[in-house]
Amino acid sequence: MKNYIMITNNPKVIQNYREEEISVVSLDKIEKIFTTSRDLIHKGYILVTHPLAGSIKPYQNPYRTIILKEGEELDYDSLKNFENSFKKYKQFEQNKVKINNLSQKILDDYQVIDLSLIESAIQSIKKNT
Amino acid sequence: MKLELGKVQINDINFGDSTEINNNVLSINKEELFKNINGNDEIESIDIQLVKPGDSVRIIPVKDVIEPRIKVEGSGGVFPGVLSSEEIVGSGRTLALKGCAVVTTGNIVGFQEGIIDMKGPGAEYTPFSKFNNIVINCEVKDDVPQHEHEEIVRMVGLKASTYLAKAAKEVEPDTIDVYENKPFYEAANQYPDLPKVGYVYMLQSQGLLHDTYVYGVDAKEILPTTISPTEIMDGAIISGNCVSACDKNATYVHQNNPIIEDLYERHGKDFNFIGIIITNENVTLADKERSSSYTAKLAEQMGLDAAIVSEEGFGNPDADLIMNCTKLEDKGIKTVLITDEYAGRDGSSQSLADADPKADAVVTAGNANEVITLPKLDKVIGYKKTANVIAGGFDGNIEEDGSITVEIQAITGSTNELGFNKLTARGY
Repeated sequence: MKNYIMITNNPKVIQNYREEEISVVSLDKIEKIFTTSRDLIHKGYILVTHPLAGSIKPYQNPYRTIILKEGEELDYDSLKNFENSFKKYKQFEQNKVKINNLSQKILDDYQVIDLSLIESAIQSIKKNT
Repeated sequence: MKLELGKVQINDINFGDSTEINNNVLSINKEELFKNINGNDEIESIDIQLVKPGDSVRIIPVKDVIEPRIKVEGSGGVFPGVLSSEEIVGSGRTLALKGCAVVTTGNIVGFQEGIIDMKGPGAEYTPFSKFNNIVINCEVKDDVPQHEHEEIVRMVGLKASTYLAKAAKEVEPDTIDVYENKPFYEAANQYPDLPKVGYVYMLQSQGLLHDTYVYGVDAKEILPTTISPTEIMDGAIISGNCVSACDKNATYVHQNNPIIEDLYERHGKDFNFIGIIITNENVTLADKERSSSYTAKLAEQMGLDAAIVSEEGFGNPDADLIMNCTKLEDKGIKTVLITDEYAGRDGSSQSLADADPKADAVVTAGNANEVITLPKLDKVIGYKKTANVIAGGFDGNIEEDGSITVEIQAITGSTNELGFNKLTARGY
């Protein structure tokens, strides 16, 4: 999986995947994860996982992981899927009323969900590469 | 494949000395039910309560809702590959206890979703407020990981439903409906002048708490395949889904899929209902491409002229929905999509996370972002605090008077994308 890159703010994802397996970019904010992914897509990377992974509502899970793969030229499907998702994310961001003081248990649960979605994606990638 | 579905109407439920049905009343031996579902060492406690329409009760967070059914003739048993053998189901006779349901609740993750109010304005948004509900609150030991916890509660619900359905074994059903699914070639020739219509049934399958099982197989591992509507009525598809309360398909909804019922209703009149393709909603875009291409291929092989496509959940499944639509349309198969909307609280934002001009026939099950205030009810089964962190809930939404303000996406089944919900749109 050398040509794959994972962009995340989820400590459990960072803990679970070693650099020798897949490149991991650790960022703090979801917004940055989106903009970094967008920059990579414009440089020719292909979107591997859907940016709105899971049906925990897009504005709800404070953790997000996106996987991309090196490519040759701009992939318009990746760009379309990405831009649609980013637009939806920003729409919810605007409406969002912050949920403060989430307990460590809840934060932990969110991390587990994001990790499980990414594990399911990694398994699928390994089967097909 | 032909299935007789006998409906045993349950008008009331109570606890009694034995589990039996007399004069449309289901009596439950609580102790025996408890013994039948308490088989796992990781379970800390199980609490069973009976709740009826109009009771001042809020159930939160709801995990699954299940209709008790039992197979009395034909091969296999209800919930094949899970509680029964792997034999193919969908033929013979099955009895369903109508008007009652098993509702499971349990705090699997801190932000778990799902409210059923049995009274008040919230009750109008969930179809499950109209049933006599056997509510099972299952707690596990502290160190049990989330996925095991989900599985334990899922199995408790299925076992409870199977146990209760046994009471119907010797009961004469109030009504019997017959559903038949012919081989494709015969089906196509039955009404050669009518358009051949199929149903593409999307199942949520992304990962932990987002799963669906088909004959016990995790749907994320399947290639799209065909299935008889009668197999689904016998519990071949079950929900392992704890998220997206408003638009997930509880096991009850799979058992009673209204799209299938309506397709049968108009079969031979307006169109020829040929069959069903089940497909998944996975995390990677490559999986989405593969599944949607395979779905379109199957639809072509079945000779479909048109297909209804239903989504489960929201967000990335919108991409699956649009891929299914465009690939079917590209093969000349007309599509009607059924989804729900996240169009913002005022309804003015784009509804889906994906779109295409080919998706020009779409049915909506409602806007999940609409806000509602649910007044205080006398009793809460489950965890009141959950309301603060469930989808659509926001900080401080529990008022001093005990009322809560949430988006309707927090309510179980409020915008169900199979149309198993209470919302509709009317022109004036």
